[in-house]
Amino acid sequence: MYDLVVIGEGLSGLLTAIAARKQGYRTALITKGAGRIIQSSGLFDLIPGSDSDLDAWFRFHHLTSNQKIDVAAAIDRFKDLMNRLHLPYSGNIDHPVSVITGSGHLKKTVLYPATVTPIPDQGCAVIIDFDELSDFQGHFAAANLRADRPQLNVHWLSLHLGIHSQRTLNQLDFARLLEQEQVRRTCIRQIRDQLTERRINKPDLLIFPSVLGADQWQKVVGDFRQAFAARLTEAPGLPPNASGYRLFTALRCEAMRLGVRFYLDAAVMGGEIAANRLLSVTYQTSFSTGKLSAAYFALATGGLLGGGLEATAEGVRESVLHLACDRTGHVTDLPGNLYPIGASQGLAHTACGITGGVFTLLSSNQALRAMDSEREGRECHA
Amino acid sequence: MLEWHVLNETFEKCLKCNACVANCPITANTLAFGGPKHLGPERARLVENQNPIDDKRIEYCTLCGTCDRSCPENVPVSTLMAYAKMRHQEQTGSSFRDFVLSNAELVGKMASGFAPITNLAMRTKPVRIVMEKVMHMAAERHFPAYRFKNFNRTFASSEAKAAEIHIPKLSKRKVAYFVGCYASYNAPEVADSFMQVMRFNGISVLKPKQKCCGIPMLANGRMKQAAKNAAYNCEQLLTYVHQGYDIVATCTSCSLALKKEYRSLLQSDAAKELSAHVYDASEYLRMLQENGEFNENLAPVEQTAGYHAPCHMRAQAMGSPSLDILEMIPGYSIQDLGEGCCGQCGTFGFKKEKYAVSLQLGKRMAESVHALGAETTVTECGMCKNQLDQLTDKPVRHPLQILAASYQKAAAHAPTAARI
Repeated sequence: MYDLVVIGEGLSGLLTAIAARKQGYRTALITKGAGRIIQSSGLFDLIPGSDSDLDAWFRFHHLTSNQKIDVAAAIDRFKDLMNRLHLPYSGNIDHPVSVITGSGHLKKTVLYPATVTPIPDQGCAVIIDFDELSDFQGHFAAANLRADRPQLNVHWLSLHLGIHSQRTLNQLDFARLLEQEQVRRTCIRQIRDQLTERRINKPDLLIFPSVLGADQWQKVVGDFRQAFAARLTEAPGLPPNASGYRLFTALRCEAMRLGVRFYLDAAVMGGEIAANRLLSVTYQTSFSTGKLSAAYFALATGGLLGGGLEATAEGVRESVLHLACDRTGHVTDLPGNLYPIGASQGLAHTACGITGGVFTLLSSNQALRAMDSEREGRECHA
Repeated sequence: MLEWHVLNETFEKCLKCNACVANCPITANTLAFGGPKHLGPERARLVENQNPIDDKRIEYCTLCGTCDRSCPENVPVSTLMAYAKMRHQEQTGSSFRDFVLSNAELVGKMASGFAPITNLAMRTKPVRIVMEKVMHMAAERHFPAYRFKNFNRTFASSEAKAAEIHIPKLSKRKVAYFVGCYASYNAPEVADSFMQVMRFNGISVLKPKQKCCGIPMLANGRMKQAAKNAAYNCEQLLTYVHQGYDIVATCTSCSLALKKEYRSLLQSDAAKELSAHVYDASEYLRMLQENGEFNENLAPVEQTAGYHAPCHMRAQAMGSPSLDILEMIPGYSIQDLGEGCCGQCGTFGFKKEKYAVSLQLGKRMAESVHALGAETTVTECGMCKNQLDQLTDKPVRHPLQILAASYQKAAAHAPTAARI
């Protein structure tokens, strides 16, 4: 029934499903739960946890320099997509920039959404905290930022919104609160008062936790920017971060609108392979079992963190289709019509358990190209 | 029966990753709700082997099941929530309002019996103000109309009308139709369309004895009553399953109950057996199509439509069968709106204290209907339709109504073709 079945709803899965659908593939996406983007920062790094540059990244993934064009094309494609989804991304893979994390420490990233601004070396930065938000500790963040950027004049202040909630508030809750004009006005007033009180004349940069609007980030960012004539940035930390949530919902909504068929809360339990081709995958829900057939399959189940790979006493195993793999989780007898994407390609492509994002863009693009040329080949042959 | 030990340890898999919280439509719209992680697995873990805790915040849960679909660890969050709701109902009792709302079937019977009067009364302001004061039902909320000629009264004539469609038998299948309260009392035209579509596919349909599927009871914490209905329906429907009938429903909440909820409510082999023979109507038609048993003689319907996927449709892990079916109609252009919960959430949106949250929730869906600018909106769920009717100005149709119209047109334009 389908041309392509994508297994997994993370960044790899959603990007591949969207791109395939646009190329006319009848596409289904099957997943046992929401993808891991919702736990992510929404930023795209080269090698997570490292300040490496592009050359180091090429070596890390064993890519040759003539694949630079492919990488650039993949990134352009992603930027085009995100522009269309009103969640534009900036950045350049040749020039990683320093952005702030929830702990206040800096990290290098290459693609970041419009709610994020690189941290300058000097000037005046003000970290905005909320009394009611326990997931972000502004004074720690300020101390860490001062250590990383000694020339930068760092202040922190905490706002008290007087919010009564029946649950512990997280960053996403605050992102939704800030979409209310009344709440924004209260914030702006309190920030103004505290800046005056501390005789901070004109901040260059306001640093928020990842709370700058869930769906209406333009409105939130616009208001603060206008009120203080300063740049803004988010410091993504403990999930859920609004920055990760925005990326996830934008991609999922796009996939649905394009007509990708979603099989949710359905865990793939294995597949039927014959003559080096994956014919179908079987899945289980809490009330049924089923089978999905397709001409092509994308394995977008992630690595150790995503759940596609499992570390056992005997070594690493591929936990969804139960394919044979080496000790790095690289599938050794890959069926010809199955394309592992992103972290599903094995531990050699992950650092700190994730690919960082840029590699995912590349591998999703490569898989689709390979699928296309195989399909064309088959059609010519026929 | 309603012991929760069978669910034991399922909550232990919760990693507190917050995926359920981030995706929960109610959490996104009110701080009065405790959230699925806290009231589901965390609460279960806390009260394990202790006195159960009653938590009022559970009232905001609509059992839409988005938490289940978000959880990467397969924790049955919504089932845990249903038990918390039961606990709360046991401790505090049902308000008269919740008792009435959860009795969709009884209300349907009575309201349709006096339909012209009930409909008129429900549109009369003083009546609604009294209802809001006494019953705590939101005065501004539109109610679906009730039909005097409900499907129980018209089934025989609908059957006779369908029998006039002359079509060779494409399929050996027989269908027992689970009509559900909405198509019975509020939208017999949906049931009529179903009868016709089945007839156009050469499949005979009967209507077994049935009670309300129980979803409104579950949502209002009345789990024991839901289990009673489940046991009755399960017994009735299984007699047909044993005679080779497939059970098909046009309401996605009903089909979800029959497929999934009865298994945890009854925990019986019978419920398991029934579950395997239940289909959503569009899912059933898609299955016919895949098996080459589908009548593809569809006349063009030049129309644009937005599709709203009900939460209980998404919960069935079947893709979007209504889109698959409707895309086969020539000239028919339909696009998924790509939004989440409509906010009506069954009985939730009628309640005075939930009304504002319900409208807030539906805003995104309404905006996407407006942004798409299609001529109609299509959805399987009567309650989603209720919200769409109130928040948008586009006519809302069940997918089978579109399909029935296409078949009829094909038969009218080429009467001989339909009689081959």
